[in-house]
Amino acid sequence: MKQKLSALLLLMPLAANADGAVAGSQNINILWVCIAAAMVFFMQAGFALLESGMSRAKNAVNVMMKNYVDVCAGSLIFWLVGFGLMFGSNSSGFFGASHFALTTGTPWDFTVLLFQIMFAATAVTICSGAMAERTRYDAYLVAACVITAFIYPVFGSWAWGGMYGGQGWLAKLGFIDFAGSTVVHSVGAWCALAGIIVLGARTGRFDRNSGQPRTIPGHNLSLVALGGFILWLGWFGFNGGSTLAASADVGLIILNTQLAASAGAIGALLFSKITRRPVLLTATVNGSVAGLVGITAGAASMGPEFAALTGLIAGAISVYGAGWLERRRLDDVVGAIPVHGFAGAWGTLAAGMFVQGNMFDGYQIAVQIIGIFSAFFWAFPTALILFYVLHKLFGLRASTEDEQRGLDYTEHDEIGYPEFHQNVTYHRE
Amino acid sequence: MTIESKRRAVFTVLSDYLRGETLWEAMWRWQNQFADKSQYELNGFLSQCGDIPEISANRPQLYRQLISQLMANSNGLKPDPIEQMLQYRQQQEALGVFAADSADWSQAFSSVLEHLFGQLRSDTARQVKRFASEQAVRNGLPQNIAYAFTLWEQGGDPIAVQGAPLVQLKRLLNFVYIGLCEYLGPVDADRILSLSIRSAGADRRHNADPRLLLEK
Repeated sequence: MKQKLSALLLLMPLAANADGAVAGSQNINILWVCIAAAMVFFMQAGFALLESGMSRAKNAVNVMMKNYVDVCAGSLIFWLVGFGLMFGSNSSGFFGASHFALTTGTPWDFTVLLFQIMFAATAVTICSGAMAERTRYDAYLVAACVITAFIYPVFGSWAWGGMYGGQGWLAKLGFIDFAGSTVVHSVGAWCALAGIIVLGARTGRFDRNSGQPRTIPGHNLSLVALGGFILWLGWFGFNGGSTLAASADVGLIILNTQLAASAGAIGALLFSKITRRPVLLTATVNGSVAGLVGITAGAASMGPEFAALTGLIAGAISVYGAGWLERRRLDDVVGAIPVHGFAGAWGTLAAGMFVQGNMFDGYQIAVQIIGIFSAFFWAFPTALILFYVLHKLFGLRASTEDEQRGLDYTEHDEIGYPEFHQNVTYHRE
Repeated sequence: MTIESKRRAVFTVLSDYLRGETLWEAMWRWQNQFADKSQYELNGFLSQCGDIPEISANRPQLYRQLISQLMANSNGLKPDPIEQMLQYRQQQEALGVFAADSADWSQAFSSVLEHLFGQLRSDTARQVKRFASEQAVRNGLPQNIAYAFTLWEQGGDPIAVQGAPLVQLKRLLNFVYIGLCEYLGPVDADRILSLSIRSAGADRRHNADPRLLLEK
């Protein structure tokens, strides 16, 4: 077999000149980034399944609709506004000011835009999971558009900006966030935190007198597990594609991603055991996703052993963080805030601590901390204002009657499982 | 102003212009869609009755008279016509004219509540009833419905919600559901509500379909 392949390769024409070689390598880079973009797009399916599985059956369609349409709206908005704000010419260091609604450019411009659209869609969909089961559909979509157009790209310009001139102020300091533990995941999670504060908990989630949390089981844990697997697969594109080149680094980056995800699940499991909690599937899947979020910042700059350690701690953080939120009566349906926010912050810190060849550099760690806090102090208050304005203008929260009947029926006039509802709290002719 | 006083005011004005079936038809339109709305929505009521010539021909006077009667004290008003309205509706039901949503819900709604509270411990039932009563008053449910619920929880008679629009009964049931969520949790609340509706549907004491209480 090997000999046959060698013979075929000998028959192939060799590149005639250096220009051809450069063009060839750029084509391969474009191909790799497009494949990675497709994998990141597929993460939306993972988010949708995971979120839907963790919600009640009467809200399954609503969850799917939000995940489906926020990608559609987010893609258009990011192309029109977000990309320019995030990657356009950035002389101030605080926002980009060119390349809005990109229609002319090089093949590489279009490729990067495609890849970054997928990242924006990932950031915004984090809110959907935390705010599930009680958010008005139209209000959520307006929020998703504002996050994609403004909140996410402005912070992104600080850390990653300057593709077309200038540089973001965090990037100037030397902030490390390879694929977006903070830029994508924490920003999305801090927006989600603002959302659930304005929304309040699902009716009956916490005991009226004691404040004790009540479990509201998801309707399909198989979907949760499947969603976790799909997210995991998509993350190889998320981190591997962030090289923006089909380079030799991709192997280590994807290995680190795999190790961190595995360690994240084990970390969640061990932490559950140590703290005498039941070892839940949802917590295990969230642990692996937390491991993935954690390694996203440092996937290209740390060794495999530290990738595993980062994932292990991220997994434990996701379980502890979920409990911490519950004690504060904050109702995050899917655990998006501990998984994307807390684990994202830890991963960003870890990326500064475990730099290969420059371990535990004080300056680097300080820069990482500045990045973590600047993300929080930008995204959280801005999103808080956004959700509060939506709450006052349109009403952010669905009515209790809609909550009773389920958002599938009240928001979309469709039923996710017309034949399999155990407890029917709506009636549709 | 109570629903009863409003009904007397509307009846006082309309009975000068309308007779017989047309009068009761118009009264029921008001009862089902405008009884719990503010007097400023009366224009909507009159425009909805545009198919009645006596109303479309005298709309400005009718509007002025209705407003003045609603603003005045109730001494000069004719007695509450609810009994005649109910009689008219029974005749219509016998003829098969009325749809299910205007059927008499007293028995059906009582049945749902009986099945629902029958599944609860007595102390939880008390808490949920009190919670629902408070919510009904606080959220502006018509006083007669809130009062009827209070009376029902104290006594054993069917809840007196004759003529209450279905939309208000849905709201009252939702307050009970929220009470269940608050005191038992949403999982049990869904189960109990679903089972009560099913059990009330199997109840032979009424003809209404309790599932309509769960419609949008």
